Amino acid sequence: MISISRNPLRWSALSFLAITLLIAGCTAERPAAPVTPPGEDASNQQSATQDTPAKPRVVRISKMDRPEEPKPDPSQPVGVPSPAFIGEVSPDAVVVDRTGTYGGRFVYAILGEVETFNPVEPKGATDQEIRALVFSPLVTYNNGKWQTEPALAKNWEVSDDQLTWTFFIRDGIRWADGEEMNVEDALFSFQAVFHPQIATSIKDGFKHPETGELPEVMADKERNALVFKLKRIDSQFLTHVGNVSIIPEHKWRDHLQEKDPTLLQQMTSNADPADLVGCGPFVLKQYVPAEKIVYQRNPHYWKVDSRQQRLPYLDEVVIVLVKDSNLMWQKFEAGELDIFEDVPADHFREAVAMEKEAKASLIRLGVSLNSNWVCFNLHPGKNPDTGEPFVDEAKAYWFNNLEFRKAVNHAIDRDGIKRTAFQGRATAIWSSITPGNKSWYHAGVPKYPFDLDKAKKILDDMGWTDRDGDGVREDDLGRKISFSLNTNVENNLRQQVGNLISKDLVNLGLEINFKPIVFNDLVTSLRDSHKWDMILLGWGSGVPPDPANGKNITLSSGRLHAWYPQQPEPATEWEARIDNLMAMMDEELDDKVRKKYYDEVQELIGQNIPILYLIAANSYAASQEGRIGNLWPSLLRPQMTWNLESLWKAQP
Amino acid sequence: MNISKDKSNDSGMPPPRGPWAILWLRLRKNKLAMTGGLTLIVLYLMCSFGGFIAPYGMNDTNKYTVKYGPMLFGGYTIVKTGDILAEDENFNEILLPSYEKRWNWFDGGLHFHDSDGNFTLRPHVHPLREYESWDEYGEMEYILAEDQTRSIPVRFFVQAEEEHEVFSLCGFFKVFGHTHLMGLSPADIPQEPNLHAGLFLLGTDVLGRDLWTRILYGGQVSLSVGLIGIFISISIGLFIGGLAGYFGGIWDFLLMRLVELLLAIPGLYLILTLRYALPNDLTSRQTYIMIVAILAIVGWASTGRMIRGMVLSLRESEYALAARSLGGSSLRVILRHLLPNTASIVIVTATLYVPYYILGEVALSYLGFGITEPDSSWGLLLKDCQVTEVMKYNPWLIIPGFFIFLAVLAYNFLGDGLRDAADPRAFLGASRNHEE
Repeated sequence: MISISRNPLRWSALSFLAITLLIAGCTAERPAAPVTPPGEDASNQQSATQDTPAKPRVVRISKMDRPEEPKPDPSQPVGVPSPAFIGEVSPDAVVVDRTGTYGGRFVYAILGEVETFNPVEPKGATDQEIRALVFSPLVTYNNGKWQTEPALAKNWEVSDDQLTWTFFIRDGIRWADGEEMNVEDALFSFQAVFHPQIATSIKDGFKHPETGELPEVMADKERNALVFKLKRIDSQFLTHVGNVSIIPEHKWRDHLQEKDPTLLQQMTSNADPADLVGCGPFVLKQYVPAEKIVYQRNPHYWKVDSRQQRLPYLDEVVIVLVKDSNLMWQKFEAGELDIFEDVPADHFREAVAMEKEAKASLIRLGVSLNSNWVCFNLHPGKNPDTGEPFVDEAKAYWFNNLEFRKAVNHAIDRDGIKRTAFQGRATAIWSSITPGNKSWYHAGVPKYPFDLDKAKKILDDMGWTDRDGDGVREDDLGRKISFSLNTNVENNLRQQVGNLISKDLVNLGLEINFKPIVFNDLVTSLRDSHKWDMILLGWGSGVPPDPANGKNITLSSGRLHAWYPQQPEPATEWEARIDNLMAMMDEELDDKVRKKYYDEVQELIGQNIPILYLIAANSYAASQEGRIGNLWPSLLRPQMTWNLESLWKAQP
Repeated sequence: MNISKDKSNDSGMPPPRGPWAILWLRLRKNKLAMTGGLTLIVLYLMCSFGGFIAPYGMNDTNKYTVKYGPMLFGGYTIVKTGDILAEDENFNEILLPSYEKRWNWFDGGLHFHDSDGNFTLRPHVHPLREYESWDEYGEMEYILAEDQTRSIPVRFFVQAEEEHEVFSLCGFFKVFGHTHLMGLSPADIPQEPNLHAGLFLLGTDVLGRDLWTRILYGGQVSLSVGLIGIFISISIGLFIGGLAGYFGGIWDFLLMRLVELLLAIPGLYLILTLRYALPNDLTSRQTYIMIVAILAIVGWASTGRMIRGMVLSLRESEYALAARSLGGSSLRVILRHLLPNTASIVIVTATLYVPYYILGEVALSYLGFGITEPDSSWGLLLKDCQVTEVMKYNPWLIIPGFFIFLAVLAYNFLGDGLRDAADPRAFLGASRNHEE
């Protein structure tokens, strides 16, 4: 037998035990003089004496106000632009109330890859964002003020019957290649979008909802104006016009043929940068796939600042293409990126730490406009191939029961979701319009606060009780209430929320099979196969944040009408009413009346709860401390780069 | 009895030992391998009785105890950093407190004194108090820290209200009961607002679940994936390798090209491709079996080739020839004479290959293709560490990685030891050494 002294392994085990005991001993010895009255423990006393500040920090909480507009500072040095501006500034130039210093390169990152630079058909969100750097529309949306502003059009007129819109084009504006931009170019751009053989999502907004007719567009050369003749009153017409980037006719004339136009095949991601001629603040200099996009100043840009200095201030803009938001954060933390938009909850503490070290400023933007929700499948249809209903008869019976949905809504602990998954930085919501959207938020929607007893009572009253003692309720026909909950596996946060919801529903006495699946499968089952029970997903908000932009969700015929998409005709009375209200909203130009209509839509959805809105995260943006001037962050995306032409960089 | 004993003594030689006995003798002398083996036994026992050892259920979320530190190593205390002057709804000025929590190593947490400060052998934990901390932007954050004035005793063999699993073999054959090895008794927990209590030896995760509990349940998956997977792949390997080696010719050619095909594809990509090919709407138990199957299908090739080589040489040995000339059928020769001779090497490879299965499960779950919430596995637990913030603020969430490390290392030590012990070239010398 080997003795202890000869066995190092046994020794190490013993010493480990000894250390453990020693540590335990240390903790045991600590309160050797425990005569202090309760509440005044030694360590508490210590912290109290050491940390009670002499005066409270006097900081007034301004609760979730929109960030203020930056002020011009006339003492700011002007600097030297490189490349320099060319030619005379247009007499119609927009004057922006800012000052800044020329020079510098602005670096930020976006997730994903460029699919195309073509502004007629931007494919992903990335493409939408980057086309705004090179191309300008007639009117644009000011994310800071939350309103539409003139851009290439200096102003516009609407006829009394609200069917004729006239946009007056600015004089003396030049393309990035020096050619003059005129009403012909504007006409050409709209002809391209309206071309019957050019398939672009931008066109959809202009279509008449029933006949699919497009507005007539013509150029009025004498007044240098573009005239639209609409087939119906459209309250969102300005938004649709703002979606169309103006492209140069002299470049692309030959590609807009009557038959089989080749315009969409141009300006793709492998186009020559010199071919991408626009009126935007920057021109494309270099594009390295999967790495970066480099822009430089458009020397002909048509905005000036409050000292009549031409914009943009920045010499160069670099967009780094990254694949992973963790990597993006690390780049920001290392100082490689100037700004970071949409700071996610799992990087919040790092952002606060950077703020405390005065390395970055973290901007609190308030409650995000993006909502998270769960939804039951209310599709009554049958699979045309097999003849089987999409939703089992039993499940359809439960899901279509309003009281059941109410009970589920009462059983979901939104506070728990907020505290865990969102680490306290979120707000419970009861409608698709979150409190962050101050113009459309409706406080009067029906709310179903967490109350497990009430939820249980609702089910008990219907006779849906647990009769066989397995912990799962049966409905009044004796069928065990059991269904599945899906969400997308790629989103960690959503998986956590899904887990919490399924626990809440288990507490209510239901059997839930929670299964995160791949996003594409989820979208397929939501849109096409309709084979799902309960789904957890979220809506993102568009710009402008007008509910009319969410028509494919709200209308019963919409493709994203989650609980029962693309209904041939409204399935219920309240859905018909919603369709009606949305149509009325389209034809009403007064935002107050429109808000009244949409409040009713929100109330109807709240009363009938086909979709259970859960929570909206707080929104944050971060920028390197003292590096970028004139930042005016906004809840709307892009949060900080929407006014890129007036940002300037502090020179080291 | 006596006669035979005398006989053996007469020969002047030590009693003959079987190959297994020799293997065991030599393995026993390898301290590293024995430590590995012992560690594995402890790990497997621990995870099998996971439900009993764990103080909580696998998915007991608790919204009040999110990301609390490991009580085994200390605890958080609260530090008031100042006040924020704010306005309430009626525009009256109010002061809102702002706090910070501070980690104390080996102070607080699991300790050995009661509320009055008297030393006791029974471990105690402090209740946790929730503070509402405000920042200058009007955002409120909940901060959880110990209330060190009070101590709650840790009770052993506590009875839980709900029935839960107490024993399970790799997640199968579950036995249910009410007893937990240790835990807090609800009667001891003070009922006060903002006061919560829990026994979180290794801290909690983002949903407030006890990490130690999740590790124990996760081990059932992570540790058994290797065993079941290696069983399947060795079975396939023995079958295919035996066939190819014994019959040779066209069989050998075809099967070995198949093996090369499998070996030529990078493992992880093959696993991911297979995972995509299989349906997504599976229950978590089905997912588990599927992962084992995928790993085994990818893993049998190298074993198969090795077996084939051994059978090829054993086929020409005298006893195989004798068996064949005595009219033994091919099946009988393969099963009775050839394969048993590969047993030692098969066991060695199996032991050395199990870590690949454990790591394969980790990779799959980490990437989101394996075990998913609300189930637990070590790979899934590590998934929480994908964000950089965890390393800085919640480093205890990496502890599951330590268990993976421990299991893989133990298997490698044991496998190395087994390989040395089963090495036939060292046979004579080792046995003589033993006799000395």
